[in-house]
Amino acid sequence: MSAPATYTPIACAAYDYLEIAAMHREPVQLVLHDGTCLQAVACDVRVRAQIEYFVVECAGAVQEIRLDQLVSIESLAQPPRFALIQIR
Amino acid sequence: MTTETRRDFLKASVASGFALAVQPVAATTLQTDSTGLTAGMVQIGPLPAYRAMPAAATGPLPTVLVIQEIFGVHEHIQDLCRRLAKQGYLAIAPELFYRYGDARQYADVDSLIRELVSKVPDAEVLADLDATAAWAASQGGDPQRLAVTGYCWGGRITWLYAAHTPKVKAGVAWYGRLVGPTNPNTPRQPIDVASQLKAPVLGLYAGQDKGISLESVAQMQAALKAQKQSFAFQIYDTAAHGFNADYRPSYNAAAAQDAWAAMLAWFKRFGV
Repeated sequence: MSAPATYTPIACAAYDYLEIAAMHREPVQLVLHDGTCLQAVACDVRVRAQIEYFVVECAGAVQEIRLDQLVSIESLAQPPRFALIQIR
Repeated sequence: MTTETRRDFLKASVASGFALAVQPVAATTLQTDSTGLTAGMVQIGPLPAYRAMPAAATGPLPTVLVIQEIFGVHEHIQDLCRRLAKQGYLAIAPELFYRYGDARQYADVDSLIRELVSKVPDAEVLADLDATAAWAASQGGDPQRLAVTGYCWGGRITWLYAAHTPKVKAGVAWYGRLVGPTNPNTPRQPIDVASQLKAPVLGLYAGQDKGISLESVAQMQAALKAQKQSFAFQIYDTAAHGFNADYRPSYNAAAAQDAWAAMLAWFKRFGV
């Protein structure tokens, strides 16, 4: 479940949805490249050492997920602010 | 003169703590000492359990409930508790069949399942796990950092327990059955509680498992995804059922080591 050493930025269009989700603390379903599915609350998007992370709260724990590990994000809010977004 | 190989020696030295049904144990059996640990049997009211924890702990410890295979809390399960304790956990494995008999005394698997395992109701097991978690919290465990893991029979129970209580923060199920018929003692299978999971669960499964098909794993994955649950699966393509059971021929060292690391990472990921 480890990420590759080289970071590959995601498309700006997809990034916008992460920002929207974080701004509204949207409940989301994330699918990662290793097959992990996470039901989480979006908290922030941050950059550290030239790598971007999606910060979420999942099962009571805060997690940083590299953006290039995201396959998709889906809003679970009612009503949702966006539908299923394929990131990569 | 008797020629004793390392294999003979190992078998003789570790066999006594294993269930009769799994003897002779394999030479690959791992043994974890209890240096630096407080380890041994404890009583939770009438419920016996094996507990291992760092002896020099200064604060509440993250806690792992370790759920047995059908062979009971025999030497292998006790060793797993010690391995977790060496990682800083309070690990505790309750004897979940204790009302009905001692799994270690059965010489064959068929009798063990028919005469003992099949008589144990899930509801009783889940209540015993609740009691174990409460006891652990009163003995140095941190109730806010509670995880559960289980092997084979215990892998199935791990899924059920993650659906049973919100107190669990993370679960790791090792090759536990996911689908199947139900009866009064086992009224629901893991797939039936896919919508009710209260903790993220990592499933560690074998590609060559003769009893738990990859189709059933796919069914479970689809159900969990549809229900918007937090989960992950790791499938070890060349491994067979029981790949972590180092005392059996099914042991696959590469898969077991990778899965063990994945389990610890999963616990850490969710704050346990």
